[in-house]
Amino acid sequence: MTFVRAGALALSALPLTVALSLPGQTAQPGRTFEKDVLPILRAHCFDCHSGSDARAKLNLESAAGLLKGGRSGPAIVPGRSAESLLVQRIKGQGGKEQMPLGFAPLSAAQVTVICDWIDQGAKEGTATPTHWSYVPPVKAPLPVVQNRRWVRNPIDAFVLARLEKEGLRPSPEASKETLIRRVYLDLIGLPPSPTEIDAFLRDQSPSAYEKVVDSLLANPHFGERMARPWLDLARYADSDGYEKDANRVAWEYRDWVIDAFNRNMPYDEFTVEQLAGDMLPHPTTGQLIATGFHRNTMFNQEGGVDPAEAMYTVILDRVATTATVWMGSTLGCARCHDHKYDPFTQKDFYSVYAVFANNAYTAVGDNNVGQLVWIEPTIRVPTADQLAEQDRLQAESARLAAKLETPTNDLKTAFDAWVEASRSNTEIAPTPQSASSANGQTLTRLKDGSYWATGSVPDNDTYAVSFRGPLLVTGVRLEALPGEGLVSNGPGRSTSGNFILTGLQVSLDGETVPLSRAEASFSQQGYDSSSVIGGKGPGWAIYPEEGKANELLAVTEKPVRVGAGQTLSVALKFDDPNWKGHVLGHFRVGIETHENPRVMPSAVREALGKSDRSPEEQRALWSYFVRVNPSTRADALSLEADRQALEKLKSQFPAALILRDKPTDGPLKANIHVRGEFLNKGDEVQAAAPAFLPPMPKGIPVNRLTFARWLVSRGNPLTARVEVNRLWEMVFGRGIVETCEDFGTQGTPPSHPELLDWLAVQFMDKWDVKAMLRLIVTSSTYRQSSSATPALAEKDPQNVLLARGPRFRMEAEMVRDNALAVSGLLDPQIGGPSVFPEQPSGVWDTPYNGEQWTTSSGGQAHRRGLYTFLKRSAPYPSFLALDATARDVCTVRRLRTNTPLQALALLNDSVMMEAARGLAGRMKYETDGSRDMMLRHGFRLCTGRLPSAPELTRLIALHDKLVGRYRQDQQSAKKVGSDPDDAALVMVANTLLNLDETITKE
Amino acid sequence: MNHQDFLRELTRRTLFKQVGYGIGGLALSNLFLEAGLAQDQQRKNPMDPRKPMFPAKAKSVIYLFMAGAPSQVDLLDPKPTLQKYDGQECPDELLKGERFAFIRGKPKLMGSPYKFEKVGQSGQMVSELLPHLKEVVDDITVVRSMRTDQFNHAPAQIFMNTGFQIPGRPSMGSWLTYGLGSENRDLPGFVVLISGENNPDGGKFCWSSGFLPTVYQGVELRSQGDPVLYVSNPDGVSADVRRDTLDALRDLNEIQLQDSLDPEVATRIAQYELAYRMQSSVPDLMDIAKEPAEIHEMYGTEPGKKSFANNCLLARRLVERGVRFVQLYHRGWDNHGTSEHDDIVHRLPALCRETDKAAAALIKDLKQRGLLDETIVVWGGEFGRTPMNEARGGSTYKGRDHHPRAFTMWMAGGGLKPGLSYGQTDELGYTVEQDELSVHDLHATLLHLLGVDHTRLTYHYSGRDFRLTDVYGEVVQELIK
Repeated sequence: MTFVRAGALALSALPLTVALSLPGQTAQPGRTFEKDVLPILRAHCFDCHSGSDARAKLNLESAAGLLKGGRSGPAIVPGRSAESLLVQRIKGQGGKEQMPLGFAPLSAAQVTVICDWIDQGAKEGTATPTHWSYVPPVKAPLPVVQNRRWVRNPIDAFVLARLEKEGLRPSPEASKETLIRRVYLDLIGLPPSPTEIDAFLRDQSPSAYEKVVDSLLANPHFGERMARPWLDLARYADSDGYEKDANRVAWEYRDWVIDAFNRNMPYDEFTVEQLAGDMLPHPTTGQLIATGFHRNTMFNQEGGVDPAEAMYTVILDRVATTATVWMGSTLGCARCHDHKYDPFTQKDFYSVYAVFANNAYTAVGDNNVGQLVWIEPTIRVPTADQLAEQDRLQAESARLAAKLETPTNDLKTAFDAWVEASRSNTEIAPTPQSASSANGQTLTRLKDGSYWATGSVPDNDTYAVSFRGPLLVTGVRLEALPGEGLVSNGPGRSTSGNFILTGLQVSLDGETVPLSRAEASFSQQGYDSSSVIGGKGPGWAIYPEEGKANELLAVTEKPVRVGAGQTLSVALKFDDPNWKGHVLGHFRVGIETHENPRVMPSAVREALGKSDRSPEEQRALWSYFVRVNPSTRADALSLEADRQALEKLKSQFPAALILRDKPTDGPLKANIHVRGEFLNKGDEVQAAAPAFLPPMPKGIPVNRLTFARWLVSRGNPLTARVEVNRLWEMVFGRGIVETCEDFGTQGTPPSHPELLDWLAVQFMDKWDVKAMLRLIVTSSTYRQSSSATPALAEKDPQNVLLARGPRFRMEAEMVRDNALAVSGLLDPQIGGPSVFPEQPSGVWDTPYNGEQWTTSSGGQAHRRGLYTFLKRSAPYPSFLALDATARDVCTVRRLRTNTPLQALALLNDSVMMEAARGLAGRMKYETDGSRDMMLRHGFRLCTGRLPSAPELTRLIALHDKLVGRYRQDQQSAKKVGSDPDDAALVMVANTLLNLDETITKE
Repeated sequence: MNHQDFLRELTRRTLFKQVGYGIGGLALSNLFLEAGLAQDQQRKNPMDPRKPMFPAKAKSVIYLFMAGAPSQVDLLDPKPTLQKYDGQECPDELLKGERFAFIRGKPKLMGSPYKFEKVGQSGQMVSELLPHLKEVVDDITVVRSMRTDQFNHAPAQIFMNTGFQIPGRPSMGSWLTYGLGSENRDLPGFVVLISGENNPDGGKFCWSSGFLPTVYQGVELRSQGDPVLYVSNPDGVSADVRRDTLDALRDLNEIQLQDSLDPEVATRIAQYELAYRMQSSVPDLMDIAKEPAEIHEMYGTEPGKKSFANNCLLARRLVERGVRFVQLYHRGWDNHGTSEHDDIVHRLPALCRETDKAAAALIKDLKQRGLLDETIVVWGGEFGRTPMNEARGGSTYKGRDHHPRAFTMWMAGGGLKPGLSYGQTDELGYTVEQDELSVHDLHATLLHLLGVDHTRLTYHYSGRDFRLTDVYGEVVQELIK
């Protein structure tokens, strides 16, 4: 029985092209090593018996190697296969283990080939021709074909020549409805609307189709369509990966890619800017953002990681990804040893590694607690609006600052008076009557009125500090004081010296005193002093200011009079649910009696105490003064507000992760890592191109820029072939080289080598991506119907020969985009921060709390799939079900599976139900509302064509049955639609959205 | 049957009517044309069970992954000498060239605060923290000589699961379902169950299918919401309504199949039917309330709760149903001793209480059902913990740092030698002294027990044939009955 696999992505070891051309397996004269024997040995024996570390010293890479043999002597005796050790071992004779060890034995046919070759004298054969992909492509003359009328452009000539050779005919052209839907999906990733289809159907001009193609290439959604697969190559994601998987802001890079495709940036520039935009002369912001390509690598920030090793891993990924994306090469294999199959040596790998390993970074964090990380550079990329706002705020702050810093004589006098008054008032009075701990600590009062906590550290505690009247109270001042003997000199008793004051409450004889605000000299990020009021916030903490004095001032809503005999109590609560034992170890509490008290920063307090002040201290005093002085206060507060707004604005500038190199001194170098192990350093090598490929230009330093330019130089045999092959694969579902990621000897050979080379040479002319796609989609080859005849399905199940058009399931994001588009829900906004469409709860389950998937509001929930926030440890689940990856590493080809989990996602995902409701609405409101018209319209929206009679009949049957069911079950109906008939229509729409044809590009 | 006949039969309506929706029947199983599985042309459905390469000793695996890394010297590898030198500085020769995650400067040795007892006929030494494990000690095989290369959680967990420390390679469960399929067609072949608190770890990378088709990735059975994502019909959609829509969908797709002759359409029709059956088989599996009282008593299960005990019982129900690889993650073992919440005095005993009873119950229960012989149970973390006190930033809580050089795992059932004690560490428990077992060796041995030669289970990707054990790994015959 034969099984057909068209559409399924094949990774078959034996591609069809080889199968078709394999010679018969009877003994053949004239066997040569290179042609006949080497491929067998390479496939089955090279894992062990090749390279400098060949097992048993037996290297099977050449006939000479076989003659020389290994530890057991020569492997072959020319002319006598039966006596040859090689033959004995692969047959399992002589009581020794059969080779290849641990793998399936060679087939009888393969053994025969080897025996024939030995018996015929074990000839070396002609010198090895270089592997096809390492020879620069040339344009072959267009082949002569019989059916010349079918040939629209050179693509067709090559494809047809092959078909005629195989005795096949091309399929007829696809119907116009099918064709327009196909080309829409291929070029913009969205389906045509009925209006667009109608216009195309009406247009009888010979160039009707070309007009559509040109409009699509100019459509801004083209860039989104092209970016999606490129982002797989670039392993673009919105988080770091690994254990922490912290979120990152990287979408500027994604938008750069979309824009570059829309502007039709030539592929050579596109390459250079992404790999080395930062090294171009006076790089633009865009060129810097482009280098985000290699900042998309995963990055391990787990506590305790060796930062040098983490960076090593990052660079390895950059080298392997560069080779995969531009060279279609598995250079990564040569990290540990010379490549077993392709001519890359380990030296080559580290020569390219050296090109990338000179990256700049900053060391951040404390190595003593295992938190040291190396952070690569980031730039901020404000939008036009943000830039304008920044200018406004800067101008306004400058104006106010100038005003405040050029004091009048009156103001100077006021300042001197204020300093005098404040100096006499730095003592905090009065001091408390008593202080106690609720959880068994002893609070000892020191001479300066502060308290010191001793005893075992409790998980949580509340300190009660009380004052006796008579008093006038406008606020309570808490000083957190350092102290020798506390961890990190305190002021907290935790293992870090920090504390968390989760609540501060003031009461008068048991009555709560309302507080209006709480400010502090310093607050830890996320632990702002204001949150101590009410006791519900995170509380006040002071990291990284351990070991320093800081103070918090809680102000009462209005002045409070404490009568004689009355008690004012201050409760200090330390009760963080996660951070246990974060209590204060040394502190002082005082009562503020002045009107409108402000917290005085410790620097100001210190400066006040001195008579001889430095200019900085004087400045600190002055800026504090203008803030408390009535005549300048309004301006000072405005200035403060403007400066805060400026900071906030800057923090909101989108970030872009970029590459930068460290300054160099001579050629870039790196050590080989023996067996790829981080700690095991071997010889030093210089940055260079892999030795067997054309060399880099002489006389200029080898760096990323040189390397990028070398990749897109005319002499490079790989780059253009690899890219045109990917474009071909995007459209036809299968590359001319099926293994898009591997153009080496282990990859599949091209099905149409001359076509591939012709396209590659054509492409290098201007590196024009749109022109290349236009050529492909306007060919007769592309325009064929995708329906197979039984004979064709039998002869060419994978459609390698292209006797029919492409037909395969859409990629994950396209399934979503299509559903949203046909249901009228799609928000077409291009670019911007990643969004959070609806997903089942509980999918995000990260070790660091506080992170939530909050569904984006409004249209943002209905953006195209490529804008969906991609957290590597928890990718969007319905995309994952449809073969999208977590983008941990570069993905060239997504496997295309067909599973029950996909069916469940497409049937039941709430997004699909929303789409069904939207589609049902269109079915109802865009028609006269009659049943048949609604069903016809829905079918057409989903498939681009009208249903056939049997199809419509079946839909009617479903519709009527569901109407019956929902009329009987009004309660369920309400959960699905507005009334029973609407519910039935929604479920018909749900069915339509699940049709094979709806989710397939054909 | 040639291709034309096949397609003709495929599209005959009667075919569906004959076998109804219970598929399983031979005729319809022909529909499961492979998708993305070109390396295996014979298999029609990627999850169809396959014969092992040689007679297998076990059919399924239940892997109890103790994420965060339990302390071997406090649980299963007693070290009297360490006790003796408790509080003294660690010898210099042990620290030379060593990289620690958090320890800085010269750490102090720290004996275990727990008593060990020789138990069972096998005379294994087990800590007082694991009283229930003592009851099944003669059924388990203890390996005290594990070693790994990684000393941070995420890479170490990914390494333990995929044989490589960087995300992107297939996990053991993916390799096994790729190699052997699963005996149950209505449930995923590789299931993941999670309990415990959030903790640093490798997360979903640990059950990723890497470069294998995504159909082989571990499916998390969730304790809240849909157990399998999207398995429930939307609100207001009854099973009848769903059936109606699927009937129509099938008929319409058949028309499409006749027109296109694209076998992917046939596969899709079949996969929608399978999805429909999963909608009833999954809730049935998850309904542990039906289990008798003595089973709940034995495991300590409470239906509806997210717990390791519930997951152990689910694991038994899964292997009973023929699921190939079940992996439980219990998180929280990262006992550094920075506070009471991650130390070995308070937290470690709590973790043992959360897991010990149910893990032992799982062994007993599998045994009483005759399933232990064909099921391998594995217990262990991603690395061990230092025999030294970590004392990060001067912490006074007792805790231990990450330690890749030596740690302990136990296994049971499925052809392993019960009661065996394998391997030995030095007298401080710092390095392996005898019978070192690498992660790759462990993988090779587990695959071997399942009838798979680890050197022959390969997948061609990115220029070469990959395997779970990379280019390493030896089957350890001494562990096998």
